[in-house]
Amino acid sequence: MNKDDIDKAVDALDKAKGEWYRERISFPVDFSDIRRWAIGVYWPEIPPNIFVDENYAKKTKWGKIIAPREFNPFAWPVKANESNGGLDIGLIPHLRSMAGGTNDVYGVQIHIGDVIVERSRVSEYKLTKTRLGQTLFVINESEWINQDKELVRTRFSTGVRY
Amino acid sequence: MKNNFDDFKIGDMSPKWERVTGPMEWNRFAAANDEFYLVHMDDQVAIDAENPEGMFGMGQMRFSYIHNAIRDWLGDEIEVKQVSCRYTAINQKNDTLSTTLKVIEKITNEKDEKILKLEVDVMRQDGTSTTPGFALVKL
Repeated sequence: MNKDDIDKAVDALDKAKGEWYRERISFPVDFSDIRRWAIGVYWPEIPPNIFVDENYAKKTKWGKIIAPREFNPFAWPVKANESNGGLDIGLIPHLRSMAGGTNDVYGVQIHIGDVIVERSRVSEYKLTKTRLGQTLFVINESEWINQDKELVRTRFSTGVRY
Repeated sequence: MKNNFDDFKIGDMSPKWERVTGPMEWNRFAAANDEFYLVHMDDQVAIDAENPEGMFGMGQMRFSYIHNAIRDWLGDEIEVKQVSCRYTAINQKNDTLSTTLKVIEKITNEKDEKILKLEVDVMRQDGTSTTPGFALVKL
């Protein structure tokens, strides 16, 4: 990336760092959302009953269907541009990007009917030279809280921009 | 399936959790996760993005495979407390991905919760590590 892009990106990140900058609310989680996720990640094998069989789930300690831990309740918003929670996308235009890593810390499980509120911020960033040239590593923090004000998940996702 | 804390020792390995993945698997994941990036859908776009083998798989899907491997090994009533990994290589069309888990620490925390710390990774068939990291799992 050229120096102008670097300067713009660093300036935007400095301004945004630490500030919660985006909040969004999921639709209520539907059984079919969980079922489709479980089928998708287990394909072509059959997913575990805990995600798809209510009678089985009743007999577990959960007492009901749970969502896979990494389930995304924010898929398919009505406005397509709200589907990406990665906040650095808007802050750093014109750069190539790739996913660098994911660090999830989990709280309570997600169940059918849950409504999740997400807020996001730039947690930290680092500018360094790699084989890709000048490279920005941006860690986004996103926090999920359910309708009972319980922490569901905190995700630290590393975006690599170059 | 064993999930009694005392039954585990450092160095224990999970059974291998394996999938061959390509567009059939990626499209299903994309549909569930609303993840429609052309590098995962269109060979030419991926080639233009400097992957000569064409479209490639999603890191986030390998993240799910780690979760699958944990659950299939330790059962439905465990609680995954944390999974942390880096995406150090991509997976190509029709790669065989193998997820491996290894017990590296046994922890009893201040709440007397019994937690296994696992080393995690998703390997390509040539042994390339793609998703190294760790997980904390309460039994």
